[in-house]
Amino acid sequence: MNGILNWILWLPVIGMVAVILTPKAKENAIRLVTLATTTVTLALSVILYMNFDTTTADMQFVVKIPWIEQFHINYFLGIDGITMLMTFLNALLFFICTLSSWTVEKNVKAYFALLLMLQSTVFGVFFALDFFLFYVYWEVMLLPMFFLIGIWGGENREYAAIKFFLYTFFGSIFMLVGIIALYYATGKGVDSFNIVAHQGGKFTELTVDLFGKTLSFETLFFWFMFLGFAIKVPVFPFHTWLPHAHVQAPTAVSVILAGVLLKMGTYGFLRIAFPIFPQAAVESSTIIAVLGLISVIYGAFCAMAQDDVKKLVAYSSVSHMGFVMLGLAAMTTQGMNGAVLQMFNHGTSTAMMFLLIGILYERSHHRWIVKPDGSKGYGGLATKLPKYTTVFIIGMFASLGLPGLSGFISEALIFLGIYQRFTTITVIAVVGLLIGAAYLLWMFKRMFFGEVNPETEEYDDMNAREVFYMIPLCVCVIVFGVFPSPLLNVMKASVGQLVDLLSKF
Amino acid sequence: MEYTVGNIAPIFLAPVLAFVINAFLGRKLPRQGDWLATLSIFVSFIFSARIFSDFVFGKFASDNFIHKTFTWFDLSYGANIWKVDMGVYIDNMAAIMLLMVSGVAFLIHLFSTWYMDHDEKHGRFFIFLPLFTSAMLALVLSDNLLSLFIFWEIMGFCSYSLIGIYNKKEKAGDASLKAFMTTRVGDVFLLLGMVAIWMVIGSVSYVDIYAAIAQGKFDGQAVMGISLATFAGLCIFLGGMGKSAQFPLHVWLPDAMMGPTPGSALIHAATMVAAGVYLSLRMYPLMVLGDLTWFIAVIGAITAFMAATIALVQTDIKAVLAFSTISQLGYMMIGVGVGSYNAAFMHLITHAIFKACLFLSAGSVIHSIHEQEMPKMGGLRKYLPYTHFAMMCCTLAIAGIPFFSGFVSKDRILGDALYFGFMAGQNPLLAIVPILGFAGAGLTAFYMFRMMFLTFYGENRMHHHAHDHGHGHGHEDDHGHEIHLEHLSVRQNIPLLILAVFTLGFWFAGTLTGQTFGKVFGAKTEWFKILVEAPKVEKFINHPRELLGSTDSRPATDLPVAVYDHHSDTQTGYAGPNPDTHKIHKAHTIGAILSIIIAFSGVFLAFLMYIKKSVKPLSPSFPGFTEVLKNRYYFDNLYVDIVIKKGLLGLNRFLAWFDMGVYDRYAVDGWEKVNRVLFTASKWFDNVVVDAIGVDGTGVAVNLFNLVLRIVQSGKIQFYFIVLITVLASYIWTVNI
Repeated sequence: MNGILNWILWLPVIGMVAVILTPKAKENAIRLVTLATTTVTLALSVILYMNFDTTTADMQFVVKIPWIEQFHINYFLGIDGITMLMTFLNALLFFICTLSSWTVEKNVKAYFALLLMLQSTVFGVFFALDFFLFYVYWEVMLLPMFFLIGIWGGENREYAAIKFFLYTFFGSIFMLVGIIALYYATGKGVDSFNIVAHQGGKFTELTVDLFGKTLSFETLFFWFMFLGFAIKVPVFPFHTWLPHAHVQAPTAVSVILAGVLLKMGTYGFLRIAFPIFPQAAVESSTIIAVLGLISVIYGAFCAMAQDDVKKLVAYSSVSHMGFVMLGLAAMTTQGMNGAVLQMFNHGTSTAMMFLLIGILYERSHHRWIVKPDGSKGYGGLATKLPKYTTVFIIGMFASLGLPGLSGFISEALIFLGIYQRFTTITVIAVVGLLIGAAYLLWMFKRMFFGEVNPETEEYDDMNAREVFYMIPLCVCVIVFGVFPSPLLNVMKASVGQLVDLLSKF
Repeated sequence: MEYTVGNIAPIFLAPVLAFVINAFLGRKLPRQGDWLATLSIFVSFIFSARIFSDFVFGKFASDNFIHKTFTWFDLSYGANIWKVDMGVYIDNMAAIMLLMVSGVAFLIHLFSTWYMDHDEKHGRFFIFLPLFTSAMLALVLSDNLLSLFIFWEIMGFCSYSLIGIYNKKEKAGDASLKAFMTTRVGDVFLLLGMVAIWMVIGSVSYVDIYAAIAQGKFDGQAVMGISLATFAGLCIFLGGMGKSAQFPLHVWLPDAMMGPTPGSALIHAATMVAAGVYLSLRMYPLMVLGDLTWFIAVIGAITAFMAATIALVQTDIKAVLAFSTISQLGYMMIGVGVGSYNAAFMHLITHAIFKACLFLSAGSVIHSIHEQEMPKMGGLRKYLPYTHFAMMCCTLAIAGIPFFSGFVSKDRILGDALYFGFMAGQNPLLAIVPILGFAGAGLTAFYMFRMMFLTFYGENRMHHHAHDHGHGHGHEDDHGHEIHLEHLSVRQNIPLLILAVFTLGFWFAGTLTGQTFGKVFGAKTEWFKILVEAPKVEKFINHPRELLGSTDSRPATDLPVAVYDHHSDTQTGYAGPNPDTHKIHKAHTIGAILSIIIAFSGVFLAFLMYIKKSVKPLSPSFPGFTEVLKNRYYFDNLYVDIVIKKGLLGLNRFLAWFDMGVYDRYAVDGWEKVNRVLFTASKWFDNVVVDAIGVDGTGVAVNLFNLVLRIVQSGKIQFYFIVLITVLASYIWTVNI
């Protein structure tokens, strides 16, 4: 099983090459090659899950090959429980996105090639245990995203693509400085780019002289890393790239963006910022919690005012990722597990929402809940599209945290976790739950109730392909809402180890 | 009988199975699976009846309970042990609830198969109704607040779906949204209260909470300066207020009548709305510990009275019943608040039965004549004799006429309220509780009989020829306004008549007037009193109050918990002789006499106004106040027009505008301007200083800046800023480390 990570990581690249080699005119062949690739990747991730040892917090399926030896840079891959879930999520969502992208007509070859490249780089970010490799994947990932938004996006796509690119790039510069600092701080030795070796609070004593002041090495570079990851999450006040990117991005890219790319930010906290700088993390947990709280409330309030349904869901992502930040800031068993579970659950539920909006967009070619002229954008969808409505209700209620569906358990765990450390913040965060239900249900009311209008009359219900790719997500949302153990058992050792580490500081 | 998962689980798994089958295959089944849903509820009923008989006739002790748990999920790692247990907790109260819920739900399902015939939403209705029933049964079976909350919310979802089932109507959408969001206000507080308890005592199981109270684990714990018991108790009660439509969260319930009438009967009258009361009873020791009982009593009294006044002016038959539901829930809350524990629970049960029957009767009327407005009815008793009979029984019950169930339960609550308000040495302002309670009782008798008289008596105001139509019911929907003479039909009338039988008082108390009528069936006829009593919390009664973070150091015996002791003074082990027993008996005697007088005067007044017509209705004399009542005291306008539309949406629009229009535009994209200034300065520096001096390597710098220039000028903003930061950061870094 040792090479399986290599296969998962490089299979999309092989698929990409195959897509590139396929003649441009054979669009269906290109689609099928992509589908085959993502299907096999998904199957491999399931095999990975079945072979995963849930009892240990250590890295598993490790691959370590020297790469640039004079700097001790290795091709170093491995996964733990947290990445296991993200791997599965990534494999699942790309499989689904391939199916949902079947209707893309513009430059099919380039689109699917970029999609596969994106999948590989996202896997790379989650697998990489070498800082240099991690950074490479983190940056390379921007390229396919940039082009996917910039070429296949909506009217204002160039602005959104550049904004997305620059904003993320801006954050990663700080991360790079942090990485270089760690390289020097560990004496440029064998493990100086090894993420795992840095973990455990080894830099608590170091200081940095900056502008004549002595600063803690940990604190300074924790915040550098924080900036890099917080932009990705995105945490208030670094969130404004997200609505632009989501609104302009094509459906599949929105799904990937909300489903997995945002999780790379919180993953960065779990893998890098917290374990490498635990003391600084504990010291700054109040600030993280407050920023998370603001994201929750502010995101929810902004979502409620949106007339564009995709923008509404984009802001809801800000709000839901704020819950993840709250859970992380809690640094307790419940909070951390809840945060990781929420990463997964938000991945599935928000993917459902974006896919559903995409399906509707293909019929209506607009996304207005209320059109700019004040008339209703939709209306009577529940009458006209019964299947669509059913799936929409499942996705929406999972998103707002209805018990019995997946979102509830993670949110409840986060609340349990955060309450132990920040009672007042918990009490305020409850408002987020309330508004979270309000904007979704209000949107639902405006779109689905009422008489069918002439425009809506022409829409078709979901076709077999659309139903087919929504089923896995519906199953995830319902099954993991009732039986969360398959997810929690995988992550709890890794999360528990991190909680233990943080509790020492 | 030994209880296992095998003979408890079918109670809620049978309806879940019906839900799943109907959801996937309902369209293909004959009659869209309504028989399957009904059958599944019958299975629940059989299993519930077994448990009920075991508890009531077999063990016959107040402290008998079953508690079985299993682990839902486990987050333990290393030395950190933390897992979430789920379980089943059945005591007498739960056993009675199970029987009531499954029984009423079965009859309502049966009725619905008639009512929903040929309705376009027939199939959908029978998907959500069994799901709802299973959630309610599971809620009753829950042994902890978490699973209670889970099923509580699932019921909220079912309620949402059934209110909005006629999704072509905009109003249905508004009503369902309002219902879900209003109850959600309470729900998030419930979640918060649960979290607070969980993180302090380490569990939310009822048994553990009672034990924690007994062991004093709540003592000295505070949340944001409030004692934990008060904070958690208040949060949990707020949850109950939302679900049980208590003032000021009552606004959703009248609108919930948008759904099909049998759905309203089950969800918005008989069972779900009572869940808040059930929760308050379950958490009663916490409410006492947190000194919240007076608050519960006051909220209940305001609700009971306010809703009764609004019901006076309603013309829609379902609206009258909706407001009467709110009002009756208020009475249950009064019962909880004044310490009338078993009477509050009894009222929950009696109300569930008569209110389910009232709604089904209303459904029968509406479905027969296709009219909801009472001014357009009249004289219907000739056409709908069975419906009339059932509805009359229930009206007598709700009005508090002796020998009917409503009298038994409401009289006890009012008697205890009388003691609580005037004799228990409470704050004199709390006299408002019995005053509003008795006033509301009079109004109840009046508006219920007003409804009966307007609907079934007097002349028919429909202006249509009524004739006998032999083909049964529901087939001629298109004929519209013809009235068919009601034949005794299994699905239409039998559920009503069965429910009507159980509106008789003797089912609930052998003593028909509550106290004096001989105990004809022996001691066991007082089963309700004997079986249902507040959870025993041993140290509870002598709990020194100063530990609760309150300066009030009264011994806890002064708490209203003392009130119900006399009901079962031999059974409760912990209270000891109550010195107030005499006073309480006096209060009960006065209360019984008062409520009989008040109920009959209400009925008599309604008779004078609507049958004899010798007294003119008062509304024309007070147009202003009538207007206020018709607008439901403007609560809906306050919430929707001011709080939500002006406040919340205004704030949201402002924030969204700020986010994109100000913050993103200036603070984020604004860096472009800053960059341009910096860039110009650098260019100047480059041209003037660097070029003039002509240092070696200038070419590199110029090339770099030219690159940046191209980027910036071609609209690729912010690159310059990034380069700047990089240079700055690496500079700082290389110099200092």
